[in-house]
Amino acid sequence: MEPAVGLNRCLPSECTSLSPMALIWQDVLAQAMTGELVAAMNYTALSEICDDPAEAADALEHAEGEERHAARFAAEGRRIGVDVPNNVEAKHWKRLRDAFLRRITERDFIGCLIVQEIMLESFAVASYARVGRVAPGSLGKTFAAISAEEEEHVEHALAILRAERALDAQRFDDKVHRLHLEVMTTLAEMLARECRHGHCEVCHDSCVKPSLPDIRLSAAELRGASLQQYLKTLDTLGLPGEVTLAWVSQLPV
Amino acid sequence: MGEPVAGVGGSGSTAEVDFALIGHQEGWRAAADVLAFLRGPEHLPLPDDEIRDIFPWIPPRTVCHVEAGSITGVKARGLYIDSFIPPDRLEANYLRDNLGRVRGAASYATQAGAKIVSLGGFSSILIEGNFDQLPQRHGTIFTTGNTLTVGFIVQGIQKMCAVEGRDLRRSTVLIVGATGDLGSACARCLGPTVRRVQLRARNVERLRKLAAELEADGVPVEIATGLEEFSAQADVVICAASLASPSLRLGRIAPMPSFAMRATRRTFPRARRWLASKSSSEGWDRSLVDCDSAPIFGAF
Repeated sequence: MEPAVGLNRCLPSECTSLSPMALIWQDVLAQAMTGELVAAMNYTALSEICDDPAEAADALEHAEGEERHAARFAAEGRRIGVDVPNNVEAKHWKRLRDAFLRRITERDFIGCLIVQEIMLESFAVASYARVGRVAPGSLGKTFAAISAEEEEHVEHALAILRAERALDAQRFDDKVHRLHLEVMTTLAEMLARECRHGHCEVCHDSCVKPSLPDIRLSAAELRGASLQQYLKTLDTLGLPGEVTLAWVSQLPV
Repeated sequence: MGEPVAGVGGSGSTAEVDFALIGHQEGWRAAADVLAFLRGPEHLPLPDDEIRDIFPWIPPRTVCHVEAGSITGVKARGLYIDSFIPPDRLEANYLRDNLGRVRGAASYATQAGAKIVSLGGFSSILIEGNFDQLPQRHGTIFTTGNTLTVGFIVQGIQKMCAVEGRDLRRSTVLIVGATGDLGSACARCLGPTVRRVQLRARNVERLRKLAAELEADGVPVEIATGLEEFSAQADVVICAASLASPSLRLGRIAPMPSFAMRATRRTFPRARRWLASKSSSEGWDRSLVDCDSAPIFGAF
């Protein structure tokens, strides 16, 4: 199957000159599209380690779904007159991808689900929902719809993970904590109010975060909503709330 | 000094607990302390502006485990659950969100298997008269700060009557503000043990409902909506109304009554002076309960 969206990065100079608002949306879309493409690659890799053919087919289906999401974000960009770049090699996204690939190397199916479905999808579901509330017209509808779709397919993974935790809760919680330190630390740096470690390599020019209030968003809001979603998802798995809150409170700001 | 009766335990235990306390932080300093506790000593405290950004997003959840012991050596295990209502959102504008947070905290308590859950002062105010808004209880009993206050009022009246040699069973108890959580609980608690109760409140429907409930238990009841309708028979008075000052017309009640009064922290000193003057000039017994957000009892 032909990929819905190419992985070649669109250079900032190639992006059309537009109103400041359109350029903010361009960066928001670029982050979302990059996330979707990373997710698509993760699910494709996951399909290759699934012992159960049904699970493998499911993973491939998810990969295609994430590619379609990326294509919808690209289309929304065109609708407002911007090319939406992506960069799955951007430093934060690469670290997240590498963390996932280490689980693949270990053939750690459960670890893969925790990283992708619990951590990365919490971020996607919550932040898309917030963007969906403020984005105009079909752009807002697309973000809201994709947020709902992401939330729906998390349910399937939750059932598998609950069953796994029932076997040995302490072992499961320790594993989540190890992955939390590896993955959520990177996500927290991405979600920090300011990018303190240089350019994220996805925004087309300078960091978009200081401009988010112009579209009635803020980096603090996206971080807060994402971490709240993460905590709630961990609650549904049965992890003790005081423990997960301590984990989250120790993340970098 | 012996062992402390309550201590903060380590986190992480998922075993069922005996009780849960639901509260929130009243100031940003206290909120910072909670986050510093959660971060642990090996992490630097968060900057204030980050705390203000993060705090509103934290869903209600357990912060720590508490173990309480009685003087007889019985131990009870409990949880402190914070609703994480931000300190700058305690106003009516945030009522819906705050109610949701208290409900969320209550769900946490029931899921943890707490047999009894105590709602802190502000949570009590939010839920007052709306206990049906709490989640399915599965045998969990919810109490409010008012429960403790009622305990103090009833105990105070019983003690005063004992000191004065007054037979409470022959007393007529007047309850002002009878349909609120405090007043109605006092009526239910004292009603079966006294000769008669007189209920005063503004809402006649709620008065009738409470009177019917008490009468079904065989308690003689009289109701009225006006403060001027104080009866000369009342020799025990419980003032549980949310009044700004104790400027009630009490000239027509029986001489030398036992009097229990509700006050807030702000009105406590004034109420105390007023009751003291009545005590010295007219020989009233008195008890004063501070029922502001913290469950602190002050009697004199």
